[in-house]
Amino acid sequence: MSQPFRLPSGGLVDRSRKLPFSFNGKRLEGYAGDTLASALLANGIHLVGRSFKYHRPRGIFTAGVEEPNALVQVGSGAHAEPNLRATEVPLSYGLEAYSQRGWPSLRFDLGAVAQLLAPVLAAGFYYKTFMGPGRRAWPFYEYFIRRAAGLGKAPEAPDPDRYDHRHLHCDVLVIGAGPAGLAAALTAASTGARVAVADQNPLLGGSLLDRAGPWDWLEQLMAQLAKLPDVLLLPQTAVFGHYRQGRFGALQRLENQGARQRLWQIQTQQAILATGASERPLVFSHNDRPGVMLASAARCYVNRYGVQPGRNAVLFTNNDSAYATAFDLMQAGVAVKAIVDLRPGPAAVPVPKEIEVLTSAKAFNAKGRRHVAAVEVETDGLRRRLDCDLLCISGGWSPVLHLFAHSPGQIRYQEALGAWVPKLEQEGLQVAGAASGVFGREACWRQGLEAGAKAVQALGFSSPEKPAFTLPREAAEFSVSVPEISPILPGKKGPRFVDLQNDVTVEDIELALREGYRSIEQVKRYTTLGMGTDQGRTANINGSRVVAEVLARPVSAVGATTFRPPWTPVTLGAVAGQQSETSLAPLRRSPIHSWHEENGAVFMPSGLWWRPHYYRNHGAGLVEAAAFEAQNVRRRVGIADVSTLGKIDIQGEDASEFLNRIYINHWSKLAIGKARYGVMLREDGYVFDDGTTARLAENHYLMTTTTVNAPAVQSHLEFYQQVIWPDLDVKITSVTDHWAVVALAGPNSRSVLGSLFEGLDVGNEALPFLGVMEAELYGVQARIARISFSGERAYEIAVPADYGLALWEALLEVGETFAIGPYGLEAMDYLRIEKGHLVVGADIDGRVSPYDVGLGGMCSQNKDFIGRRSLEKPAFHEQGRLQLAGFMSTDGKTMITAGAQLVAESFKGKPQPSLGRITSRAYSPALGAPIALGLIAGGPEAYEQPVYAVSPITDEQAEVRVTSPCFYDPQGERMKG
Amino acid sequence: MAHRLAEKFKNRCLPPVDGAAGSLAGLSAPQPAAIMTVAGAAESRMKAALLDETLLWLGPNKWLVVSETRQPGELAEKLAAALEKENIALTDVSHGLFRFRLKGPGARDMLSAGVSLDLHPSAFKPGRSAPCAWRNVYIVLHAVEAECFDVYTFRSYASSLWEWLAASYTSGTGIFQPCRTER
Repeated sequence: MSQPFRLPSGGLVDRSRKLPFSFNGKRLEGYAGDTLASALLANGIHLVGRSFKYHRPRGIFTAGVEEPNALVQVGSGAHAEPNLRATEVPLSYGLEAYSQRGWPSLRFDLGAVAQLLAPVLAAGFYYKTFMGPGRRAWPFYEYFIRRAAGLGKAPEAPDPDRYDHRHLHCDVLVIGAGPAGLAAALTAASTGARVAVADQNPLLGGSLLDRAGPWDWLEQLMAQLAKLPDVLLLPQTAVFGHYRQGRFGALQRLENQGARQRLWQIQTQQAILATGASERPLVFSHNDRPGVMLASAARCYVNRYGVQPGRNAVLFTNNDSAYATAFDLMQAGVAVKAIVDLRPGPAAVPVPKEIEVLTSAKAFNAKGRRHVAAVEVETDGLRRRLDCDLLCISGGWSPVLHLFAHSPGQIRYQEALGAWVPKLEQEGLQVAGAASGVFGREACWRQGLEAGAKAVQALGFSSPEKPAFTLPREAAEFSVSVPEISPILPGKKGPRFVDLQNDVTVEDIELALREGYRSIEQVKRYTTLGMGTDQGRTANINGSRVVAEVLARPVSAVGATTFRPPWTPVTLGAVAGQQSETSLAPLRRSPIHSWHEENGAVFMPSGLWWRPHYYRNHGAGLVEAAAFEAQNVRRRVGIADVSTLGKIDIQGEDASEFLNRIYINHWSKLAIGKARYGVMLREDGYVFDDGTTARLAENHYLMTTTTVNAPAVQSHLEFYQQVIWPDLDVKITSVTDHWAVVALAGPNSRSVLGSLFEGLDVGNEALPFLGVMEAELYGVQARIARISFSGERAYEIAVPADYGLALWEALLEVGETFAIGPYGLEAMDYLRIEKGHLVVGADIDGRVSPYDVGLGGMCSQNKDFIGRRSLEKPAFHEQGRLQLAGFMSTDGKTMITAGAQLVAESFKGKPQPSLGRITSRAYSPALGAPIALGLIAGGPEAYEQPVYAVSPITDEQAEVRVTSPCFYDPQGERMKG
Repeated sequence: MAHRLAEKFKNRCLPPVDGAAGSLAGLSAPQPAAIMTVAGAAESRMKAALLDETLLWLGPNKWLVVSETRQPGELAEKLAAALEKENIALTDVSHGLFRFRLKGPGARDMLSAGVSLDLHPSAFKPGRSAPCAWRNVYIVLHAVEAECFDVYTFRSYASSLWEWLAASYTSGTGIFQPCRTER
């Protein structure tokens, strides 16, 4: 028979919508509205997993987020998601679920031999046992331990699911949609305030859903909410973190929508935590058997899902609330054998005469192997055995305070509840309902009304209306007060589990205390109490109780462990959001990017930009292609896309003075229509950035920066302009993206330029070295600057970005007769290294002063500039400081490694003092040999010495000769002529 | 050859997003004729100088002027003439910024995927603009009218931002679906 434990009617499941699903390959059926747990129980399946350490059979213990046992993997292959609580997974068509431990099968698990070893597997066992020999021992043991213990397995294939991120702003955020939360939301929203209501469940109602039907109120509630002006309902949304000042994080699970999970970042003015309370277990021998369940969970399964969690029930309680479960189980046709009550007196609620109530009674052992079969009870010194297949336990209720405590809020211990309650209210935050320690449907509702009104009044809204919603009726209110009697019951019949997920027993905690651990935080870390996916929701208070009893201290003195986000596990996919399918960082593309892509460019990142490293059709590999490209520039002519260089428009009456202060060199006397190379320092005297800056008009400059440093330089300039020198008349605007710039370099460059700009005089007189000229190209504004990084005669041509591609293609077309070819960053590097030109990020790496790299002569002696005072630091002038030099491979063949260390002797594994380092390397087409730039102690004094450039991590070594850093055309005749 | 070259410079070549943008309803990339920054003029002066251009605030006395009809040269002349008495700096950034337009009832929800500002009409009224960020990418956001937003980004980011906008568009369906009651 399908679903033998399903009631013929009742519950919030849709019996007309059958949903097939499978568990460990077994085909089963449930209904729409089920959770995986309720559907399994409807099919009589209680054994759903094996425990963490001892591989004990485990069943479904709760009906919600606090579930410690029923962890399953949902989906298979790349879609698999491990460690989901079966109690939280909504049943869907064709859902595949798997238990996570148990080999060869869940029923017969060989790992269960661990139980026999339990006496030696106590807390701290691994650390005490698996010590040595040697440092490698632990990783070796760990491999096997991880296989035996541990939780689910993450899939290794790329995640095919989609994730979403959203920001949400609201006036009032209500967390939890039980009676208190609903009252607060309805009240607050009636004023027109923007209200968001988040609840973990697919349905609103919270604890109301656990009561017996009818459910008319649910529709009435939805209609009521729909009438309100600005309410956002977030079902299946767990608010997992509270980050002060009204900031919350929430994870929403989605079905049949674009994304599977959505991460919300919520900013609210007022928050109302109506997170409710969760039930605590009682601790006794073999309290982990499948069929042992929280009383509230059993009540939820019969009422909400129309499922009998067993046929013959016994209840074990220390408070009145479990009696409600007894009534509802009876109503649902479950035989309630007895209520075993720890308290001496009778409950304050009437009990049907069919139910036997044992007072002053203790359950001390649960019998059965894969399922509970009986419970052994002691009352008045007499022992009895009560046969049952369902044992419902209740040790009282604990307010859910995680979000309150994240912010952090103070909590205090309340004896009557045996639990922590919020101590102080925080600004913009209220706790309402059971979360505040107030129990009872009516009381929670009233408190919610007040909290909702208070929240909107604090925001200046008008007085709210009383909601027109009537709460479902309830026969009686049940007290949740607990007696002094300990919920930790003595017994030696078997392990007494405090933390089911981590297999932590009373004895483990006692051992930790015997070994000297006193703080609850230490006990947690030594025993793993309260860790894992459930974070000890059903374990922590009982754990503190054990510690309190052993140390004979009050629980309030023992305290609670720190509450930290996230409240429920958050998947990494949800944290990544849309960036799990797109790139993590933006990719900046030059206006000519598409041409490079279509013409075989191999790209390399340069900051956020992607720039052509070399073109594939120019050679067999990087060095060959780049050498070819560089050679073409030296002999004929080449073009490179330099649009990515930072460009900053600087205007104002004090623009010259501003540049004087920013750069180490002088600017006031630069002629209009000329450019100059400039170097700027950081405040501490180290070189920050360089580039050429052109004077376009009396009070108008165009600065260029390195590609990677452009944003940093822009910030630097703006900071000084806005904060340090607001009196200077300077206006700064980034124009990096407005201009496309192409470098045209090589002996034929002037001919190409002349062909492109027909009729324009581009001769050496009209456009000399470092000259800047405004021009027009087929109706488009253009600017030509005669700047050379390669050491050849060269020009940089700029046009507005949307014409960049046209400029590039036009240059290739007119240059064809002059053998023009594009070159990439690698070739650009070879050319500039031959010339001894430096690059920020390689040679200028934030650790060099201008003196170290031959720029000392540029430092003006008769003006102030950023970093000038720091240049007087004695360390900058010490003997033996590393100084710029060139290096050439001695055998003319072996490439030198960038980043290699310089040592005096050939490296054979023995450490040697470092003489310096290689900062960038090239193959020089002009010299036909590998060359490099670097820093070496003494600089020029070391010229002609043979040293070794070694890179042990890449296992590379080259014998090199120290030379001047300029390898090619030291007089600069080629670029100036 | 001159004619062939002239042809190349006839039309602006935009970053490759506009074709795809048309495929998602409500998401488009209409480019203005000119965009300029003006630094050094107070709001009252700017408003007096403008004709039918859009004025977006970038910083103290720093503005973005967007014209749908005037070409950069013409706009620059007009602004220079109208603000003759002010000590201003005019910079053409027409090609440096790229514009996306989000239009429709879902525009605000879509922006909420990357923009952390409160875009509720009561907080971000039509006509308002703000330099802000889409995640970590600088944008200037402008509420053109109810349910219509313009997003200006630096040209080089356009293709990446487009990918992100499109991903947010398709992953955000059904955000504001009412909670269903299943019975």
